[in-house]
Amino acid sequence: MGLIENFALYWEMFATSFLASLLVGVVLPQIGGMMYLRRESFVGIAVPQFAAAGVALGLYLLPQFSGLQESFLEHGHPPLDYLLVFAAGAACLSMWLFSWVLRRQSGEPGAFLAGAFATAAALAIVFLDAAPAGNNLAETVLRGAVLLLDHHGLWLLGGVCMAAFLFVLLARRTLLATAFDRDNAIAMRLPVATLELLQMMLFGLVIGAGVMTVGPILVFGLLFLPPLAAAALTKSLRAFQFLLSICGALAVFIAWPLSIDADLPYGPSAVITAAALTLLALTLKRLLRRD
Amino acid sequence: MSLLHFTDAALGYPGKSVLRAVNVEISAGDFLIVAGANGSGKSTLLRTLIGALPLVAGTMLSPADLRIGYVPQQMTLPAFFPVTVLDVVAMGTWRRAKAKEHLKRTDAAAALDLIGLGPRAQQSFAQLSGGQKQRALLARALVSHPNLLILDEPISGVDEAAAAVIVQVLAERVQAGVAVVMVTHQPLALADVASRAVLVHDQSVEEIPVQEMCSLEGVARLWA
Repeated sequence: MGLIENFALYWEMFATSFLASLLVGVVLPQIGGMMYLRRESFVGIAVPQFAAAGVALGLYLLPQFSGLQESFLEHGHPPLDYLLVFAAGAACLSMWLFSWVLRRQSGEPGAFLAGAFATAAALAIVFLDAAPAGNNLAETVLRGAVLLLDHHGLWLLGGVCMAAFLFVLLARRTLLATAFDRDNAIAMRLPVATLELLQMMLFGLVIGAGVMTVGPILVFGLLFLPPLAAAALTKSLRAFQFLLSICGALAVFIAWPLSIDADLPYGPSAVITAAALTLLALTLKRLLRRD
Repeated sequence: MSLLHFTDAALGYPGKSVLRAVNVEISAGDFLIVAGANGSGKSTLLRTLIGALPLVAGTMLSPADLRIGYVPQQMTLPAFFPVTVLDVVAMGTWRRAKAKEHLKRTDAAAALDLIGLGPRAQQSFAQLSGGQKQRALLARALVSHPNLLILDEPISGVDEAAAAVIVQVLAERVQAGVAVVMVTHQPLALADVASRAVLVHDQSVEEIPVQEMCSLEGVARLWA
């Protein structure tokens, strides 16, 4: 039963998940694009892993909050707002830590990030293992439960994504000027420090919400692949930012029929689609250069 | 008119002073050369001037209408950034929030023409040579309508023609009352335009006669 022939039926079943995928498809590449321009893409490898460890910590501590625990047992789905605090908190904390380490420029930052990634992954497993509800929820929360997302989850994801998107749109110039030449942005008296702090908090919030709702694999893919594709296709900043969201939206859109028709998990399907689009863009760039 | 005035300032990082007892005043129309050996603290001085580093001690006074135009070394900028030459220069207008967008682009294009890069406006910034990048960065600083220009080795690794264009444009700005602070390892090239010189050494900033700095003896002292 293909998606195209039975679109109405699938829309009824997966409208929430489809909208969620479109949201992250448009917004996450904008965040990844900023990380790419700031030469901090490799930081993004570890941040979703820290968000996942935050979710695991939240699940471990859940029995400490009896009201939330009862509601969880009654309704059978994890308390998203509560977990978001842990996911976003861990993401923000890791972003702050990495920016501090990179600013100090001492030692090998790649090794530090790799070590941090390993530690966050280990912490996630340890907390989940020790959490009463952890093992049951590991599949749905950490692997991405985009197909199981409810309306509340969509509103939560929509809220943080819209906030981050508006922020990137409104603070675009200062963020770009800072990414290109931070010292010059400071010399121009642009509000660099304030916007960097806001950026860290909002990006941490989106990555945290993304990890909880669509899973770390899709978050990784949408953070890193669209910037590579967009940078291959243009030399203009405006077009780059436009192409980021186009590439991300295309990847999550094309992945739906692929996932349903071939019965593949959605998140990895979207990442593989994004990778194929990136490969196409890089090949196109090479061919155009040869001409 | 005084634009920046350091009094008994200590410059550096929290808990670590790189330069001590700095007493320097920069006024409108000054062309100040900053020279010193690698690692002497020139970059610390420059980063403090632009506001990227806070003072460790002492005071730095500046008027409310201080507008700094900054020209970094081009090799410190990312080579992969998807940006045209005009985009880079237009960044200099982003401080002027109230100005109309098309006027900002016109200003940016005019600044590119002034430094001889008009035909390359739509080219990728990454594809420019070192000297061309340095000129584009000077154009970016100029469109911000600065009253103080701070430049970090803008003529190092740049061909003679490009260096001549940069020095000529700076000299014209000084005539118009703009102050210029330039870090350089080539003071001889600035002998005709510089009005003051400081040597950064032994954790201090020492003002010396510009003739001394822009002489072979001065260069010898610099390299010593």
